Amino acid sequence: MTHSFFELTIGGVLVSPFVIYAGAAIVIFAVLRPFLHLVAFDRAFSNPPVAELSLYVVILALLIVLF
Amino acid sequence: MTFVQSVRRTVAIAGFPLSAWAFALRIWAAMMVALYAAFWLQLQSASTAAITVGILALQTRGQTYHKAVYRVIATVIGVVASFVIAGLFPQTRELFMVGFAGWLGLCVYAGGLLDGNRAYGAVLSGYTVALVAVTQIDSPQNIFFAGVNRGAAIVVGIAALALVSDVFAAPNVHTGLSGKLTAAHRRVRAFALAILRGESADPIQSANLLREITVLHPDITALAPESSDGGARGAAARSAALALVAEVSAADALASLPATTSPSLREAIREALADDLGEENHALQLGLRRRADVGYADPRDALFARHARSLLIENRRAQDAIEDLRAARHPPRRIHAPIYRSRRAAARDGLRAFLVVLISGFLFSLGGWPFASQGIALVGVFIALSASTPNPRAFAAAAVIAMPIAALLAGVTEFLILDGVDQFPLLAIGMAPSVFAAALLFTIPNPRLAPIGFLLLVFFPVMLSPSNPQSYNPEAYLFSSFLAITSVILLFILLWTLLPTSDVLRRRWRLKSARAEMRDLLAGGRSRLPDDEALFRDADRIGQLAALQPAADDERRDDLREALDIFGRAAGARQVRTTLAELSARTGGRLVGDAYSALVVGDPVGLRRAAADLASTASQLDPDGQAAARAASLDLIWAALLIDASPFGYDPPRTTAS
Repeated sequence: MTHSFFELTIGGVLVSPFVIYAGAAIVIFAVLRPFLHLVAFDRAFSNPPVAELSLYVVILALLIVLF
Repeated sequence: MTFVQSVRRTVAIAGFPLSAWAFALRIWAAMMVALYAAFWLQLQSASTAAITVGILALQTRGQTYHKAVYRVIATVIGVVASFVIAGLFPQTRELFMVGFAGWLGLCVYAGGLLDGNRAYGAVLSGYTVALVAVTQIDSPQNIFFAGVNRGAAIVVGIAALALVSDVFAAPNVHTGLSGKLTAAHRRVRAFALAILRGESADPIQSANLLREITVLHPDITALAPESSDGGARGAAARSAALALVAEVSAADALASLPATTSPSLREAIREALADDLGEENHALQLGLRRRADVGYADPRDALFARHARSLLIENRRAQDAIEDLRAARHPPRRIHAPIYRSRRAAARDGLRAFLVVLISGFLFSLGGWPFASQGIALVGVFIALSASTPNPRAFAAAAVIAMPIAALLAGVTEFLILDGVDQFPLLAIGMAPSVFAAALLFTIPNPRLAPIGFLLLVFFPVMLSPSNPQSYNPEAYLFSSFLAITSVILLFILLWTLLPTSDVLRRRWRLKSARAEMRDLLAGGRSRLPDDEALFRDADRIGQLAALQPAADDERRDDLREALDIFGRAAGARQVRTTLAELSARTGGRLVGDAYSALVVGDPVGLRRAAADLASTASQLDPDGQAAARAASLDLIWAALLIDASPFGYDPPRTTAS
């Protein structure tokens, strides 16, 4: 089964699908931040930055797989 | 744990602590990851990715992310501005240069009104045009590709540094910041205790305390992007900073009262402050409030009780906010920490940037060199960067030293160490000594050496300009080195000769603005800021005054004394206006007319008379109204005392005098 990627063209310039996924993942991650603070996400891990980075990668991978 | 910490503190390699080596390793690793990714993606300006890492090479993750956010936003703005300027002035180089100089001047002006990474973002919007459009002045059709390439390389650099910082556990801002706020709190408490012992307040000590607090503002703003807890920590840190400034203000107010006022009360407050008692502290605050409410027999006692209570409240608030910062809790109230910026200084910096670009463009065009546009672009970059630093001349001096060293290191790396190799691992090993040396130099707590280390981190990849494949062209290296060194020397000369802004001038502007705002405040022109935020902004101005180089000690002390006098009077005037507004709301505008009139003309006799009238008519009001009237009456007496005690006289509002 082939997976077709969403492509964006701005003024005749083709923007790579990965750039759109990466940008969308950043936006989703930013929206999730208040919720992460609420559930004390940072205090559940010994290295919170790596945990947050991993969460970002998970969101990015989900976007690539689902859309 | 204690043993481990003590070992960590003592271990040093070649005189540098392990934390400095870890920082250098992170920066080198991030630079190499960024370069490798940029080569792999076949970006044309791969070296920009390495330069991005050098520019974002800050000690903590929060500062790095904060600067990265502004770097991306400013690059987008700068690339759009490049299109607009190049589109407005096609085929007309002179107008194009004027357009670029005007845009750069505007961005430098905007940067002058901001601080920290925000100021950097503003000037970057300006000098991106230099790097994207000015270097393509002969081939404007390439501006779009240059902009896209630069943007892509910057994103790659940021991603590499973020990855390395996260994986290698770079330090957090909040850990260091809570330590700095705790230390500042300890010093503020010691200052207040000394005043309660009857010692007089030294203006330099007060100003340095305010500076120590307000200088943390860039760190506070860097908390938000650091983690999901960053927003709560940032709000807590702002609360702590504002409470500390208010505590210094309350201590200064106590110092204005005679040392013999309320000796027994002084002792009780000193004990409460030194021991930081919980319940007893609360009981003492209630006692002070009652004393302030009924102490008409001796207004100084009542005023002492009122300011002592403020001192205890702010001390507790600062302590709670620091604990909130550590625990990542939102403070009870959301507040801002506005900074003071001199519009006049910003306008002068903007005008200077405009003129420097035009003059350097003229001089480089006279030279007739083939890469003259690169020289103009470099001067534009350096003048913009220098304007975002607290001391542009010191930046220019550091750049004059760092640029030849960076050119030398790049030459040695390219032609002696690498000497024609094209394998990436060898490039990484070849760049390591220079990057490590620059990063280690940057960690030295020496205000002269650290900026040179930072500039070396940025200039070294600029001069080496790694590409795939590397050209190894000695002629291009010599020419770019010559242009870069000429540019920094030209910048250094122009900064000293063109519209130089001395510290004496900066000091005069800040004092003048403080006097003007004081006049406006008394005349009723209140700022939109709440009282505590306005107090922080005033404190920031005093902190900047304290940071300026003194012409002579006495002059500096006098300036700071006057600035602190205005600081105290402004706080008093704001307090009076707040309590009068509360009373006015309760009485439907009655009883407060005389008080406002006396305040506008700054008449101590009129203020005392208005206070006495308020006290005598308070009995007609309901209990809450009586309390408001008593508070307003006391604040009016306080304002009269401050005007009487001020050695600098009262400058009435111009609007009423004319």
